[in-house]
Amino acid sequence: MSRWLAGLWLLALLLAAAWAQFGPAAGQPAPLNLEQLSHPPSAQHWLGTDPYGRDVLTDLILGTRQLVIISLPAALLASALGAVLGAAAGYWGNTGVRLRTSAAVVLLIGIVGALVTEPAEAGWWLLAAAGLSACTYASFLPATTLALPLDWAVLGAAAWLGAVPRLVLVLSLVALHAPAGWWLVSILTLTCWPSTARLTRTLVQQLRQRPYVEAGRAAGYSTGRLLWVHLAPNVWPSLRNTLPLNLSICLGLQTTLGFLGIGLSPDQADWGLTLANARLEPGAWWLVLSGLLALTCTMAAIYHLLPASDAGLAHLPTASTAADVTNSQQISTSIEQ
Amino acid sequence: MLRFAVIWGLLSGILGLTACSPSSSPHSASAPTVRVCWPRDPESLNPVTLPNAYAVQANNLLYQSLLTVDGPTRRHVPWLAADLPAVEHRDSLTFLHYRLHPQATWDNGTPILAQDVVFTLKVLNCPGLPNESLRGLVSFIRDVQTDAADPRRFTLVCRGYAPEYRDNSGEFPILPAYLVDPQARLRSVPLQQLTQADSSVASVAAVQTFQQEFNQAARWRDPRTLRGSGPYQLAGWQAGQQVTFVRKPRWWADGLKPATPALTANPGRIEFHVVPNPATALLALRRGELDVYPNMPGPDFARLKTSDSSSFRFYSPASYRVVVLEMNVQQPALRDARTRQALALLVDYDRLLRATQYGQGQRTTGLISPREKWVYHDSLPLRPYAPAEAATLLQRAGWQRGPDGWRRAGQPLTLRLFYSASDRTYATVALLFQQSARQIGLPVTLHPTEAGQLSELRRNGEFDLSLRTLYGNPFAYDLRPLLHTGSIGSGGANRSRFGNAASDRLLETIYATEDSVSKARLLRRLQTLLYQEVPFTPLFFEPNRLAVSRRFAHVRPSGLEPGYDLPSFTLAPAQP
Repeated sequence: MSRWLAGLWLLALLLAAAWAQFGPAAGQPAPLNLEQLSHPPSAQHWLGTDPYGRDVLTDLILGTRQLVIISLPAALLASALGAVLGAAAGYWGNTGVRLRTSAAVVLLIGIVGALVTEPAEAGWWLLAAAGLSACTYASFLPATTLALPLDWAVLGAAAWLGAVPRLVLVLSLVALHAPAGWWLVSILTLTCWPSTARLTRTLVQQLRQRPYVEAGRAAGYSTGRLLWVHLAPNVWPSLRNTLPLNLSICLGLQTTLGFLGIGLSPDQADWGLTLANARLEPGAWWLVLSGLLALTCTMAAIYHLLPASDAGLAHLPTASTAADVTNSQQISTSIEQ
Repeated sequence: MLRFAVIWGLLSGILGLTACSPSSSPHSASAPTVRVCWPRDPESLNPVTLPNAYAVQANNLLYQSLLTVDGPTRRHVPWLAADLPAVEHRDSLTFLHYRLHPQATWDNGTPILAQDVVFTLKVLNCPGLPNESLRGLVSFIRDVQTDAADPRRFTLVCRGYAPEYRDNSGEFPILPAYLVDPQARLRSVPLQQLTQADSSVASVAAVQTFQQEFNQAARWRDPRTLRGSGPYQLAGWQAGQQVTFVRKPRWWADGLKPATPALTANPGRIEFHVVPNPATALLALRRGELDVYPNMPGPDFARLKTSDSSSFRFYSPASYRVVVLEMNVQQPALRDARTRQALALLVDYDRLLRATQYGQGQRTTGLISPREKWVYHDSLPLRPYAPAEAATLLQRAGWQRGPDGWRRAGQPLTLRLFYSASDRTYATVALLFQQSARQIGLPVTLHPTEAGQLSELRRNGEFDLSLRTLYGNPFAYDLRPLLHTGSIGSGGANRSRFGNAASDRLLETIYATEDSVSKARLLRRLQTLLYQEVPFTPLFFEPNRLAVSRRFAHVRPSGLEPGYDLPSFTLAPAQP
């Protein structure tokens, strides 16, 4: 019942966001009415008005658009990034990937350049580094290689991001660039991937030792096939729980930034800004109540999406799972043939 | 757990749990502590820089000028000078005869003499120092003649004549040479060489050494250096949080009988708490952590007046502070006056006045207060709110409206409106302006910005529109710092970058005109010019909304900045 209600609430949010995006008032904030500043709930304004005379209900509905276009993509991207980085670190470890020394040097220069340059130019540094690294393979440069410490790099980055309080990190990054939706999505993605990466790394590290993976490797299956066809289905049941967790973190961070007036312009409808307006009118209880209720219901609904028995690492695959058996049988068959 | 953390975090913010930290409790009856709310940091306490009104207020506790303004009576009165100066015209020069107060001394006991005035003028005219604004104020002073018989007497020799000379000549802080230039490096440099803008003076070794010493930022945070003839000394400055001053145990004016308000300093300790958020400031005031809250937002003032009249006294004298929507006339899109006129028609002045000033405040056609009837141009009509007319004006200016907004020669008309963050009045104005502009298809993006960063953006002209409050007074109508082309950039306050040869000439003529009838006529001509050219559109004059704890008496509220006389504060007699 509660999951059904949670789903209904989230569906309503999606519909509200769609209305805000494509409805008659698309892209426009709630209209100001200076004759009705901070009015309590009434038949005309069900949730009252804010200190600028805007209808709070309209403001909350329009605010869902921000949640859907910022927090949702950020959570998806953070989960995807965490899964990719974690899988790479878990599968290849510190010695599984070898690069030409020249390519590694170019990559290192690119990464350092991206870190010290303006944020807008960081992408160009990385792109150039990737292109030049590829070129080194087609050149006459010596073919000596060195191992890429992927596991060390991913764990180090995750540890570094975990060491700095997330809100402090987000605030610092937001200050680097003018407020823009894509920038906010990038920042939330960058700060939310480590937990997913750590979980994926652990799972993949355990799975890669399994006999069916060894068998697949011996049968000459490509790494991509092993990862995608044989490891991903076993990782997924645990991994899928991280998406709602990441979504709730992104939602909390986005609302906090909006509350602090950072990252969004004041004419954009946002739940954080709705809550922040309550500071202008300490007596306007309806502002606090409306904003907090909406936020609490959404957070609760997201948590209810987590399958009760699937939480945490409960789904760590064992040798007796059906997937393992099926995969092992398939691989054994292919070896026999 | 996370959800509890988020909710708790949000609740904490809303309830203002991070408001002012508790400070020391008010103490002794004879020398009470007064805690004042400031919305921003003074940024600098260097007496020659004074970047904002808060720096000026702080400086007036540390340093004294020759004359000061008595707020309630709106008159200049002697401060470090014994009397108002005697004015004498001779040929093309004006001579202002001053005598320093016979009992005025520095903190080390040495008397304040005419040589200190000479030294101060040298500093204000010295190249390579951040003294642009004060240098402009005293630019008319060519030399100082000292009196061999009386070291406290001196005469300021001024170029030409303007009625403002008498008041302006006494408005710069007098600096102690023994602290500012202990090595006496400027002693050998004649004042005339500095006032004549001789470029070779910058290469003089003594001047260069002095520049290096003076420009050490640490000196101007050090209470040992930051010390003048004023009644207070700096006790502490935590940037962005608090500035504290304590009363000097012995001040030269302590023994004067009878003590004039200007030479009175009752509070033993004055704390300025920097609280940018009005809601936090209001909460701190209610909790008794602040005693004085000047320039309160209209809604907060009205609410407090209803709910806490037993704890606070409320004042709202009409001020000379006008809120304007400033336009950067050098931006290509805003070069045409008709475009600027159109934008001025998109402001719903009357609704804004009602919504932000709660029935107080006054609309105006220009920068001059309607209270100053002798110079205010009342024949100009108050600008209406007329979006349809604004659209017509935009078309006349060559803009064509299409499905994607207004364009001229392929260039879209999009505007960025900057204003100080955390200011509710500005936010209301900005949101309403944006809404009105949207009605005619004109996109305006809002940029609430931190005060220091906003000052920098304005100085560099990196804005299209900005909301600004201009502080005026009824004494002088020298609008050159605000409107002259020479005031564009860091040397002045002409942020709209307005001006041409004709307007510069008019401003200079106004400044030099002695006859009040002619001056009023010229000022009306200037108001007409500004009304047509619209480098800014004035929204309204704000009252000085001030709430003061009932524990204090002798507030002496006035419409002039800062709006109250802090050194006069005394503890109110206990209520029976």
